[in-house]
Amino acid sequence: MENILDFISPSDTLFYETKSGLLCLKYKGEDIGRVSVLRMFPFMYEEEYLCIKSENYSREDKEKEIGILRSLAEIPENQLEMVKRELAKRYFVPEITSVEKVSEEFGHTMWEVTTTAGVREFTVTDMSSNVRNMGNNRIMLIDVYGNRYYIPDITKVDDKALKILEIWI
Amino acid sequence: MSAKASITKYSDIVSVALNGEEMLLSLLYDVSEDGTYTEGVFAVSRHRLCVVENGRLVLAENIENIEKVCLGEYTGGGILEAFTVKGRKQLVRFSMKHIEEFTSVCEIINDLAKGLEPVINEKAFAEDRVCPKCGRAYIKNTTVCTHCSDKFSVFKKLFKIAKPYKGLYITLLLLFWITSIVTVVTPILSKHLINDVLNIKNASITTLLIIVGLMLLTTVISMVVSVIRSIISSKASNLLVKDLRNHIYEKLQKMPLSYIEEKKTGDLMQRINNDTQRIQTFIQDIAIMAVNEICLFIAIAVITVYLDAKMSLLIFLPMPIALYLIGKIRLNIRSRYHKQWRKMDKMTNRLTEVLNGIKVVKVFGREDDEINRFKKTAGDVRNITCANEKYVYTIFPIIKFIMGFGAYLVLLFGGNKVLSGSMSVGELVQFSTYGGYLYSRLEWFSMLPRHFTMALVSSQRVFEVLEEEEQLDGDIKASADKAEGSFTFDNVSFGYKSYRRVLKNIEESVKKGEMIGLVGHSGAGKSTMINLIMRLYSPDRGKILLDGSDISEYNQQDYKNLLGVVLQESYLFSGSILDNLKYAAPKATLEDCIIAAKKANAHDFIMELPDGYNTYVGEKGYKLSGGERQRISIARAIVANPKILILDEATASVDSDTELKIQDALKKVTKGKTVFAIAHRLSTLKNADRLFVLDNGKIAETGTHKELLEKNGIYASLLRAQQEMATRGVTIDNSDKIKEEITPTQFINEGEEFDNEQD
Repeated sequence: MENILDFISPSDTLFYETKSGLLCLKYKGEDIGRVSVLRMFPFMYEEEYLCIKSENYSREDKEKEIGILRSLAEIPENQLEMVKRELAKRYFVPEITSVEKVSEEFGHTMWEVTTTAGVREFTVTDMSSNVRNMGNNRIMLIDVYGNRYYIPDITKVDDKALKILEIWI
Repeated sequence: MSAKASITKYSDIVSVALNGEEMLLSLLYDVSEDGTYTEGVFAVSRHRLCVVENGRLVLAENIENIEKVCLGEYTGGGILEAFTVKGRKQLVRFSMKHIEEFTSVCEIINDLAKGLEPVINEKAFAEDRVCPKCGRAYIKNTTVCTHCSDKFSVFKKLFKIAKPYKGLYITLLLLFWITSIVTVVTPILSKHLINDVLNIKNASITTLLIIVGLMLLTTVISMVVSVIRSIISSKASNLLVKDLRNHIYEKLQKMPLSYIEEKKTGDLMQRINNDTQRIQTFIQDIAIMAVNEICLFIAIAVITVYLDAKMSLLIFLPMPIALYLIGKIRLNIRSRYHKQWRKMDKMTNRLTEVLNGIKVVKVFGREDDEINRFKKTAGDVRNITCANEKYVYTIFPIIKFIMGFGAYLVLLFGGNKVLSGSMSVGELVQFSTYGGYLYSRLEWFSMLPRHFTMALVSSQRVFEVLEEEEQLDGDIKASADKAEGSFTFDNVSFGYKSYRRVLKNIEESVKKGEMIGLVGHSGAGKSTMINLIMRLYSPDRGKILLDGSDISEYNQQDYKNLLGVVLQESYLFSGSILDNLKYAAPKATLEDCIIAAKKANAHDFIMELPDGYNTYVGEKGYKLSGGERQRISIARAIVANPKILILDEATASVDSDTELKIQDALKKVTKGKTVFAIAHRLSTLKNADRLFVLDNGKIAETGTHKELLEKNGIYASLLRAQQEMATRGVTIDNSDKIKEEITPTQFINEGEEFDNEQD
């Protein structure tokens, strides 16, 4: 198949941050300004297949895709951290490290958990669509507001949580 | 802690940061800059904004330094960024919990930055999305807190609905009491049969006859009562369910479209069908019986204590253990069956999906994959079903054993008493019959909480719909009688999700009798604009005025009567063509219908059908072509002679020949009416008085076709793009239809040409 994808060559890219920590890009010598970095396969690759788009709010026109970054490993160390920070901002999906308390009532589950972002209480309703199986024992919970919580290994959560979750996966 | 309390806690710092200005709004946010959960306050006054996190001032800014702010919606949250004189900067970060509030904040700050009077929509900041008691989130779109909701209040509501049938329920209760008395009396008769007849030599035959006669009588009574009871209880519960279903259906019809679209159709159907059914089963088979059984249980327990206090202890002592074990096992069974049911569900869903898409499967030659996939799912179902059945078949005999255990104890000790002469055989039989009864009820009682919960959930789901806020008419200040059809869009903004605006600050006016064509890329907001005009949704900000009055100030029904609507998918209900024509105007005469059909160029083809206007259409009826359906729906739109006509892609899915007929029909019916038309073909809109070119939720250009072409802006470029695509379409696809259909200037809306090819 004819390859029409624009893969970004790391030698052409220079990521930099503004003073207030917004990610910008100089690409092939041109200053693109604020860019966003999007995971193309968020359930499969966190640092590969990243789509880079210019995000020029001031002109109000649609975002423009600069190209695809095949892997973060390709870019230099000092820029790597910036892109990772941007990704962490764009994908705020705290990982559940332990379930403190979980209860079920009326088909809703109430969770008290410790996550990588801190302690959190949330409610999940409509379990059949809000407990997502990402494959390889990985689970995503989506709460009533649309916040996401990631469970990297379902077999390692506590018994009560497992009992509630295993029905839905 | 409630949001208000948290905000008050930091009011001192906020007040200083805002230079003592009066606070316009303040709200909580929950994510710090480094991506951890936090508690922070974001506050805005007329000239300042500030961010206070964990009691520390993080940021304060003069609004005059801000050019504008914008909201980035990301996975799991969002960020509010400001364009300041010194460049772009992040103001605050939050999870999805606060995104709607921050959308409004964003607009308010932008108003302030432009020096405009900000519109503060109180509803966006209302605290009614969390329970005031415990601070937990309500179930979406409800005010039901799963933690604090009073479980009995739901049943109270149910009783309220059952009130008209009070008489029936009291009769039922009385009938149950008769059965109960029979239940208590039968063992007494057995005792007498054994002690006074069987155990005595030369007992009188009369006593035997009397006792057997009485036993027969109790059986007959219990049989007759049970028949009457079943009839009455089925009647009572069916009446109640009918009421409930009617209530829900009525409610759904009055609900805003957004509510119905947000819920899945399946979910709503479930509530009307299954949940009410479950409530019926509960009332019919469980609730009344439960009242009775509990009373009977207590009565028999008292009798056993009265008969022999010590021996009754043998019955009662193992009871808690038995109850605990049964409960535990039931819970286990439930979760196992839940899993099995989910797997079955998966299989059925896949089956429906594949059968519906069988053409795709065959075209791509994926039959083998589908077979294998199905084999695997079916295998999963088999495995789990086998495992569950094995479990159940092993566990039930164990439950039975536990149940019977008390009876063995009674027999052991009672038998000993009979041997020592301190108890008669008849008394032992009577006692152990009561004991058996008590244990057999235990199992039933152990299921009660589950039935109770199920009915509770179902009732909750039903009442959730019933208690949802209806789309009510506001203060009706305008009369539709004199409506002429001029429209003004006064700074209208709207989004299906309020944080994703589809229309932004629409300012435009339309004269009466004017035909407006709406043009733009797909997703530009054309259909949304029409949805707002049709009052299917209300603007988040701003107003739409009809003849100077807000359209929400007209009576809902009167307003809808002003509109004639032709939608892209010309949905016809099952029924005759006449029924469908009269759907919009039940009072229309037969003549009105014929006139409308003639104007819509539908009359001729209707008359070619064997049953004329009585031809049955709809899902199982006569197969009309796309163009025919469309012309019927145009006729339907004009039967009531509406002042305003809305055409949403009225000619989207028909061939060019039919389109000509529809065009002709539309020309006739649009005369003298205010028309809003979306169409992707130029030919439809060339008659339009003005075109509104929507781009990214805003009206980018207005003018006639000619003016816009001369302007050489978005419209002209859209047109060019489509001409190109149309030419390409001809070269790629050589089918006659396409060649005929596509002439270079026919398309207006880019990317929508594929719609045609599907039909």
